[in-house]
Amino acid sequence: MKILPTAADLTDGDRLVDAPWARLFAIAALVALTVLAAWEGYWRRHGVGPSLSDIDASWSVARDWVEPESIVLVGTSKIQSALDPELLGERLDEEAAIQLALINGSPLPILEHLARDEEFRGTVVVDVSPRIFFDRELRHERRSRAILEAYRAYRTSPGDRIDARLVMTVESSLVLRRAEFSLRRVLETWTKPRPLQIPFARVRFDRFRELDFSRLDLAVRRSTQTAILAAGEPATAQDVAALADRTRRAAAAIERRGGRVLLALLPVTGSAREAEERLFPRGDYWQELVEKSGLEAVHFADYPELGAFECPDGVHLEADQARRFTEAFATHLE
Amino acid sequence: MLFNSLVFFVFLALCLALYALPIPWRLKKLELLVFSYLFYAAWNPPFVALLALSTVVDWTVAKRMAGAVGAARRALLLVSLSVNLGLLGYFKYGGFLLENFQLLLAGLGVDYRPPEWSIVLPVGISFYTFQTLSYTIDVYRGDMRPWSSFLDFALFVSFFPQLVAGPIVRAAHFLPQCLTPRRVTAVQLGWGGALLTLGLFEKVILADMLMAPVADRVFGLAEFAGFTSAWLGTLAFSAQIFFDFAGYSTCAIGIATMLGFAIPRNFRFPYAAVGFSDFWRRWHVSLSSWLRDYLYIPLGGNRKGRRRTLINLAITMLLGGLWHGAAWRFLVWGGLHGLYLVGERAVRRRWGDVWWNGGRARPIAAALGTYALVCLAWVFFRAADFGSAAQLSLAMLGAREGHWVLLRGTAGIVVAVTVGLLTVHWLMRERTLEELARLAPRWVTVLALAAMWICLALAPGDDRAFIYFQF
Repeated sequence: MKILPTAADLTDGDRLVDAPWARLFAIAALVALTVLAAWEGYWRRHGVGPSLSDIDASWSVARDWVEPESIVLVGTSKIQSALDPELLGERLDEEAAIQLALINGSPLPILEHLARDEEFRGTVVVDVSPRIFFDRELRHERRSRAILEAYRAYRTSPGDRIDARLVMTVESSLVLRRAEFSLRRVLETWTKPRPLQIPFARVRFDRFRELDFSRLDLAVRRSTQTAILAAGEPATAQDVAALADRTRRAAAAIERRGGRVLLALLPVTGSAREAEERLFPRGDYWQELVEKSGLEAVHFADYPELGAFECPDGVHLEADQARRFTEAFATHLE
Repeated sequence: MLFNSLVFFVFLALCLALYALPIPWRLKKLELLVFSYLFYAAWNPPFVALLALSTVVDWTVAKRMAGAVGAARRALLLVSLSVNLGLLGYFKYGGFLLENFQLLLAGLGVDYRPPEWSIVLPVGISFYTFQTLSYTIDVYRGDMRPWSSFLDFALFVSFFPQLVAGPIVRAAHFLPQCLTPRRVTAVQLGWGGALLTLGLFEKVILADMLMAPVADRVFGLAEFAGFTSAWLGTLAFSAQIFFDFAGYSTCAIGIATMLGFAIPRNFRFPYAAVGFSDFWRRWHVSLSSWLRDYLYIPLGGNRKGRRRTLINLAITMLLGGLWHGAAWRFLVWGGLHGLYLVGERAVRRRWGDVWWNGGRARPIAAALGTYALVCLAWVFFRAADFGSAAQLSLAMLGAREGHWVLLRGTAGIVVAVTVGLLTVHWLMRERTLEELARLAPRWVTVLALAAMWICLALAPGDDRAFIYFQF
């Protein structure tokens, strides 16, 4: 019998580097911690707080929080920054609401996903942002389908589920984990004349997006938001009917189990409101959806207490306004 | 579970803490086995059954081989080959075979519509099936006796540092290490920790943060890319895949070292290779040596004449390509490397070793030429489909017009990283990382560790999986 070479064992010595590693690691850790603490302190002194990076994993964690009778918020960045889940729960004497909104994602696939969950019999608030909901090209539906696909993969992986919670805990404790101050952004300041900026959005652990526009050039932001509204092709009357039918069927499944679905059109102001009313006339879109789906609906313009808000960038509410808006909106859910 | 995830660090800390307890060696091995299965289950628990199946089958087959002769012995080997290659074939190549069968029938005018194939590829299956196969083949050949401890063998198959993406460890290298208790020393923990840091830095910072966005952009816009963009995108990918895979291997070696085990090196500064046989002695060494020992040599290697040698080389490289993924473009990638090896043999026969031993300039020129051809082959490895690969290849050869598609500022980073990578590989081509680390002044080691930790702490949380996880 041939004898194979013996294992390249660590005891051979050539695979190891002998050094006072404990001391080297301690000094290196001290250096690294000093630099990182200085970086953390610098941004905290500028009033910046920690924030979730709000990627697919944190959406999946929030989805796991959904109980059979939860209040769930689905929609876009508008509802994510307009309704404070914790405050909404408090006002309704319930557990905190669950924020399942998705930037640039259509709420319809998420509503259908909740409808397929046989245990769910809670309340769903659907943010109907016309640009996203009535998008003929279905780009926003694809975004939502992608997150549902990611959620399915996340559900099969215990490691991913634990990791997502750890990442969220760290991100909501340390400013230095914010994507806006990452090494990539620092490198970009070397290659592009774009200094690091204090971010205007902060995502809390419950995925509520606190906005502060005070440091932004609002004229630029408003024109960008108006341009976004004008981009893409609005749905046709036939598309609207199909969307309304899907909404009705999904809502019916939830209502059959004792749940409730409420459509909401959240505040939009200034030039963005003009663009939205021009591109998505209320009668052709919102009204059609409400009538054909037969669901409860709240349009901000129909209620003075909801219509009294000014969106600094035309479409989103700032954090302090959002708290007042949440209190006003809660009365429609009682 | 990814090495570059927070949950892995909690897992590793727990594993090391228990491993350091004063318990018998057998219990420590049992602890490592349990942690290895937990590590695998963390991705998708039901697939642990496949790992266990592969382990039990090969263990049983090898045991029975000891007392068998002739046809019975061959039948036992066939069982091991069928189970392991069957698992690999079903999970990895089933969809590919079905799709091509459908295309073949369509070509013959038969409209066949198979049910949709939606089988999840178990992570690491290509690695652990090859690992267990090498054991049964070694026992069959008489190169190794069946191992007496099932616990050791199960740990060999599932050892978590290298379970999902190699290096592919041989039983003869790993199992003898299970005989004597592995003591965790400060030096092992320190050097292992330094390797883990370096591997994560390669993966998270160099591969994911710097190179992947450029490669993704260029390969995503393949139909628009001109000569310079196509080359820069391909250089970015060649750096990305090296840092990604070598980073994983470095992490694996580091973690194994922390546990007192030695696993083989998988990379030896491959972009300094002079010629393609040299490249394959430096790139994914554990796979290329596996293919050499269990495929190329059994096929006859270079012992059956020139023509047969070339055929054996081609078969080995084509199958090596297919091992990387169930797609024709991987076959083309392997085929190109097969052609390169055949071409190199022709060059050596015609001109001797002048490119290898001819002063200083010629080997450098030959290394750069090797690197350029390796990059051309990477296009087929990375592109989403044949169309994109063809367009990028034509652009790189100057045969197609195109545009600048890179984002501002990224070209400089690709050039800087590529020049740095090639320089380091050339300077290190006859050395090892350990030699370099021994020479480095202490303050350099401290600053390097601190700098890597700072970069990792500030890295964006992209959580890209290792490229080789999908193989």
